[in-house]
Formats: sequence, structure tokens, C-alpha cells
Amino acid sequence: MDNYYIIAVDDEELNLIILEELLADKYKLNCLKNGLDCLSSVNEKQPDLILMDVNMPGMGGLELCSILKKHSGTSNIPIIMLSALASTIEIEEGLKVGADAYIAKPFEEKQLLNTINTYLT
Amino acid sequence: MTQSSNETRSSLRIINITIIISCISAFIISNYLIGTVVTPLLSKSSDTSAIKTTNEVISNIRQELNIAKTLAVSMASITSVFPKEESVLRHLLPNIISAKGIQKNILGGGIWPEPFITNSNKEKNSLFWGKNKQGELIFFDDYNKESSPAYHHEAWYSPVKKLETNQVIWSKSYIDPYTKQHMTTVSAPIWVDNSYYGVSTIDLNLDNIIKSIEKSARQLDGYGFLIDSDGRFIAPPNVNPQQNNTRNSALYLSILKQNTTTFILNKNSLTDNNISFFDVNTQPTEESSRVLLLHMPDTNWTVGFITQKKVFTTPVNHFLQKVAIYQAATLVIFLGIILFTIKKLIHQPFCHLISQLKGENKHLNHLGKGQEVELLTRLFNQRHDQLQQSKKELRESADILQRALDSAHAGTLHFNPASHTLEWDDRSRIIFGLTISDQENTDKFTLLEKIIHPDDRSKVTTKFKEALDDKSVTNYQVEYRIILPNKELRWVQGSVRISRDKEGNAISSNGLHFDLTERKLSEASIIEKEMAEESNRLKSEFLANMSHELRTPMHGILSFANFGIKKSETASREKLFQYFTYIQTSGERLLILLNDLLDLSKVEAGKLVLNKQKSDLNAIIQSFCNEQQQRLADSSITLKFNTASNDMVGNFDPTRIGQVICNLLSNAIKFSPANKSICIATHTNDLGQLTFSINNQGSPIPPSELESIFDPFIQSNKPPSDITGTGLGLAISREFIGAHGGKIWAEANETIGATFHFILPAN
Repeated sequence: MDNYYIIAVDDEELNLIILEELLADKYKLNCLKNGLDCLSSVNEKQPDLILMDVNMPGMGGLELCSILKKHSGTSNIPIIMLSALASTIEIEEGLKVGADAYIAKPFEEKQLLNTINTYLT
Repeated sequence: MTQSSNETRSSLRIINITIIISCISAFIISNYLIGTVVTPLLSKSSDTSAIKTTNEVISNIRQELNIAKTLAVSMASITSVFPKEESVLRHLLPNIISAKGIQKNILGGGIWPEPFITNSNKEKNSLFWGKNKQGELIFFDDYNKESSPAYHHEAWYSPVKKLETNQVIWSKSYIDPYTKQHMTTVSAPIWVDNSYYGVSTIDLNLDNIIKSIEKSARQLDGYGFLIDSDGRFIAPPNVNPQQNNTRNSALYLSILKQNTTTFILNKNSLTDNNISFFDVNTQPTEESSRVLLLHMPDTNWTVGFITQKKVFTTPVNHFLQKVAIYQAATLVIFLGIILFTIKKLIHQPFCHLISQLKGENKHLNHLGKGQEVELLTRLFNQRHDQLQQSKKELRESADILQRALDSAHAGTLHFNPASHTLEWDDRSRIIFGLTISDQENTDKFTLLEKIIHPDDRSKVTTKFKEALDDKSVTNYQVEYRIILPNKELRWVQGSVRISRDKEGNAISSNGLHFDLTERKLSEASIIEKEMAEESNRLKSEFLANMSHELRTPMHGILSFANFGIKKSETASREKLFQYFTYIQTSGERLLILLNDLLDLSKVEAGKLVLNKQKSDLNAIIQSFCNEQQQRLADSSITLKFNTASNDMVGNFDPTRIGQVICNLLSNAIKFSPANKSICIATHTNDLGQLTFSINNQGSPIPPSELESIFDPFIQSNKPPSDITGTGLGLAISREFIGAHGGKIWAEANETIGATFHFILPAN
């Protein structure tokens, strides 16, 4: 399982810490604080999966997801959105721009790991 | 026939009458002028003719008289040569009297010596020869008989003594007692050696002269006469001694009884050429006669001719009558042609047009080839088409207008500036909520002012007066309320159009008025609905934001709590401590959020109580600056605080204003990149207001967000790491400043970052 490379993007540091607690011992996790850093990082090394927040300063999650899904080289990377925006409309917007899954915060550890496993296997 | 046809006919009649009157007038005037010109000319011509005839008569008479005179003088001359030789005289003198060539009208002649001059014993010794009825010359010695009267004192003898040789005198005319012939005697003196010897005489028969006069009178178609020296007629008009009836003719008697004196007088007034003309009235019933008199100085006779003027005027009148007939005939033909032309070219075409106009013909056809009628018809047809088109357009326009007015429920108003009177239609009355009796005997301008809502009254009247006076204004719109009799309000929209003259002065004003009440209510309803929808949207948005802001710290609390529970046995104490710290941080953030929410809800519910007191703004700013020193140092941000006045004391709630300053300072630190500076400035402006501004050098705020960032949960350029931001800080700040009667706003800097200002009112 250590072979999988996951990028996590969130402007809230506390959220990244939580993800590290959850995933760092299972996957190779790269935590980033904004969308532009994510794009450059993906360009350097394509991850097996991306976890991203939606509400971020600068490039938000919806825009970042849209770019990655439109680009042929990155369109196959599974994207799981993690957001405190939890209404049906917001979830639909996320799926519409190409997100493979949308998990509302707060979420349970099992829910996250199951979803990641779904897209990594 | 219609009236128009009658008028046309009467026009034709008038034209006819006018032409006829004009022609008759011209006829009369021309005849009068011809009469005045021609009659004198003809009269003069007749006078000339009469003179010519008379001169011929005179010439004949003179010829007769000269022969007689010559014979008398010749006998006197012969006698003066042979005064004593009677035998010679007896031989010579008859030969002279009966010489060849001597006219038959010499009836006799001889010499009459003075008493006792030829023979002292013989008083009377005349030698006289006369013609008998057969024309034979016979010596008459009757005068020498002693029983016969002496002749030396006769009128034909005595005056001769005074004459010289070759002079003669003429006796009055007389009827010869022997021959009963009308005659006169010429006497010439016989002078022998300058002594008077006696008289020689020649008797002249006047028949030739009288016939000559009669002949000339006939030529003149009148009467001729010869008047003796004493005024007696030698040759009366148409004289015929045998015919007494001639003498009794009206003319003859008239001349004799009434005009003899006139003749004499006129004879005496004869001019140098011895010719005189004058008119006499022979009979009252007859036309006046023209008289010519010609005086013969040698015999002292007067030759006269009387011609009735009608002799002259009749041919003239005949001529004039013929002229008149020709003129009349010409006029009749002329009139006929004119009338025919008028009827053909004017009357008939016009009657034709009129009959078509009476009918239902849409277009007229013309008769004849007159250009004017054709042009008139064409123009009429064009006008007809234009009129029909205009009527159609007008009808359509009126329909559209009426439909528009009906559908708009519009009332019309008309204002006359000259009389300052306002009129409106029935629909306006209904819009204004008036009954018919309400507006009777009332000035409608005043009535309208009265029913307009007091708050709108000034607006309506002022705007109307200004629009009337402003020459550039031709229309404007105004909305106002009126108060109905049942105290309800009604909204009215007026659209006013002002008509102006060339100088721009208002001559009339027309307005359309609509009842806007339903629309206003509808608009209010829509606004209310939109506001409700907006309120719902904002509420939803607020709840969504609230959810996000609550879930974020909740996620931290729950996650780290789970980690603690799960790893309570395995994790190190430091790790557990870290978990608790994260839980505390998230919990504090949650608490701040809840406090902010409470503050906001209090303000929005109007339950915010300000604890205003005399406070120093600068002191509050300074305390916060000190609190944030560590955070500033961590971010490598420099804070500058400039104040233009040391005394920034005002009456405000120091806690709430402190929250505002804390929010603004916290935001500035959050949005400022490292190694940049933040500037705070305060001063008291001219109005005594306290002003605050804080400037950061972070990302610029788009102009479209300068207002919206003060709404709840709206953040521009969310800071890269925001733990404490709730998205409510600026919203709360705006409410707090607003509650103090101040103002807060944001400005984008020219180059980078933004500046936030607030003003607190003076004490």
C-alpha cells in the first residue's frame, strides 16, 4: 500500500494535520495548501489520487478539479473532494466538474479510507 | 335640380344678364356718341349744300339783274349823247331793249326826262317801250298824256337824282297793272354835261328768278322765297299767285304771321358774307325748320330757304337706325356665340361635375377638352384620394388612440394658460374619484390642487408652472397621489404635453392621466416578494455559510477527539497533548463564531445596547497594537500608527469600537504578506468627527467586492491560513459603526492592498 502516492490540498492546516494522522502511515502523502502548488506538484509527479478542499483562496477546489479532469494527462487521476460545504447542491457542483467522490466534513476515518480504497484498487 | 345646380344656373343667368346689360349700354352709348358726332356733321354738310344751292340762285338772280342794270345804264349813256335828238333815241333805244340775246324777261324800258327839259312846253316827254303778251315791243306814250299822272315824284324816279353815272336803284317788286306780271324796275340817272337830265328804266320780269328759287327749294326739299327791301315777299314759298291754298298753307301762314319780324331782324343782323342760318318752329307739333337767309346788297333783297330739319335728320336717323340694327344684329350674334361658348365650355362641364358629385362617383370625369376643367378634375381627384387616405389614417389613428386610451384607462386633461382654466373628460373625473356634482361650478384647477396629496401638491404645481415657463420643455411626466373622498390613496401618473407658439410661449397644455394604483400595488407586491425571496436566499446562504464555518472547527474537534480515543493507549503523552490542543483551538474558534453570531443577531434584532462613554480612540488602538505585537513579529509585519491629534476623545462604546479595531487589525495582519507594513492613521476632521484608517499591502480587493465584503460570511481573498476568521467580522463592524451613527467603508489602494476607513460622529 505504500506504493500509492496521494496529494492532499487544503488551506486549513488543521485539516492537513488530520489527514496526515489518518493516511501518513498508509500512503505516501503530499500535503499542499493551495491549488497552484497542487498543479505544479502533479506536473512533477502524477499522484494516484488527489484529496482536495473546495473552499480555498486563489484557485478553489472546483476550478482545480476542472483543470485536472480536462487535461488528458491528469484526467484519470481519481479526485476526492473533502469539504465543509455539505449541501446537496454543493455536492452536485463538485461531481459536475469531475470529482470522483465528495465527502462532507466532518467525516469518519472509515468513510475516507473506504472511498480512497475504492479508487486505488 | 339641387341647390348647387341652381346656383350654377343662376350664375349663368347673372352672366347672361350682365353681358346683355353691358351690350345694351354700349349700344346706347355708341349711338349717343354717333348722334352727337354725326348729326352736327350732317347738319353742317346740309348747310354747306344749302349755301351752294343758294349761291347758284344768287348767281342767276345777279345775272338777270345785271342785264337789266346794263340795259338801263346803256340807255342812260345813249341818251346823254343824244339828249335833244328824239328821233335818234326813238330809233336806238328799242333796239337796245330788244337786242338779240336779251332775255325775254326784260319786259320793257325807256327814258323819263325831267319836266320841260326836252321841250319847254311839254312837262312829260317819256320814251317808253313795253312788250305785249306776244312779246312784241310796243311804244307806249300813255304816260305823256296830260291826263296821266306825272311820274317825276315816283319812288323809282326821285331817288335817282342823287345817283352818279352807272349807279342804279331797284324798285320794290310789283304786279304790272297791264301785263299782270311780277316784276321790278331798275332806274339809272341820265347826266348831260353834269346836269341832271332824267331817268332811264328797265322793267324786269321776276318769273325766272322765282322759278330759280323754286327749283333750288325743290333741290333742298324745302321752301324758297325772296323778300323785298321792306320785308315783303317777292317770291313767297311755293309762290303761286293763282293758288291761294298755298298761301294758306300752315307753313306759309306761320312764316307770315309769326316769323316775319324774325326774318327782318335776322336780315338786319346778317354777317359780312350776307349768309345767316337759324332755326324756327313753324308748328308746335312739327320739328323745327332750318332757315337760310342770303342778303343781296345791291337790290336790298333777301333770298331765303326753309328746310324742315327732318329733311336733314331723317337720313341721319335712317343711317343711325341701320347702324343700330347692324349693331344689334352683331350683338345678338356676339352674345349668342359667347353664351354658347360659356355653356359649352363652362356651364356643361361644371354641371357634369356637379351631377357626378351628387352621385356616388369616387372620381370625377370631365367633359370637353378645356385644360382648366381637366386640371380641376384631376386636382379634385387627387384631393379626393388624399382626403380619403387622410380620413382612413385619421380613423385608424383615432381608433388606435381610443383603444390605447380605453386600454390604458387614460383620462385627458386640457389646460388653457391664457384663461388659466383646466378641463378634463369623464374618465379623468372617475380617476379623480369625483362625482359630476363635485365638479359643478368649481374651478377644476383649484379642485385638482385640493384632492392631490399634500406631500405631492407642491411637486405637481411647481413642476407644472416651471414646465410652462421653460420654453425648452414640451413634455414631462409626473406621478402623484390623490386622496379619494373615502380617504383612500390613489396613485396617478400624468403625461403632460405643452404646445408653444413661435416665441416659445405656452398656448395650451394637454395631459393624459392614468390610474397607477394597481400598478403601484403590484410593484409593491413584487418588491415585497423579491425582498422576501432575497431574504430567503440570504438566509439560505447564511445557513450554508454557517454550516461551513461550524463544520470546519467541528471537524477538527471530532477528528482529534477520535484520534485521542483511538490512540489513548498507544500514543505518547505529547501526541495526546497535541490532540487536546487542536481540540481546544477548534473549540475556541467555534466559541468566537458563536459570539460573533450572537452579536450580529443582537444588532439585527435591534437589541444591541451601546455603553457610550467618553473614551480615547488612540488609547484603544494602542492597546490592540500591543496585543498583536507577537503575531506581527511572527509574520514579520511592521505596524505603523500615525495620529494627527493626541486628543482623539469621543463619546462612544469603547468595547464595541475596540471589537471593530480588533477585526480590522486582525484582517490587515491576515491579508498582509510577510515583510510588509500596516499603517494605522487617525485624526479629527473639520466637522469634529473622529476618523480611523488602516492600510495593508495584501492582495487588492476587486471594486465589485468593496461593498459586499461587509456582508456576513463574505471574504475577499481568503487568507492562506485562517484559523480565527469567521467571515462575520466586517459585518459586525459595519453594524457597530452604524449603531454609533458613523460610517465604515473600504477602498482599493492604487498599487496594492486596501484601506479600511471609519468615521465616528463628533460629540
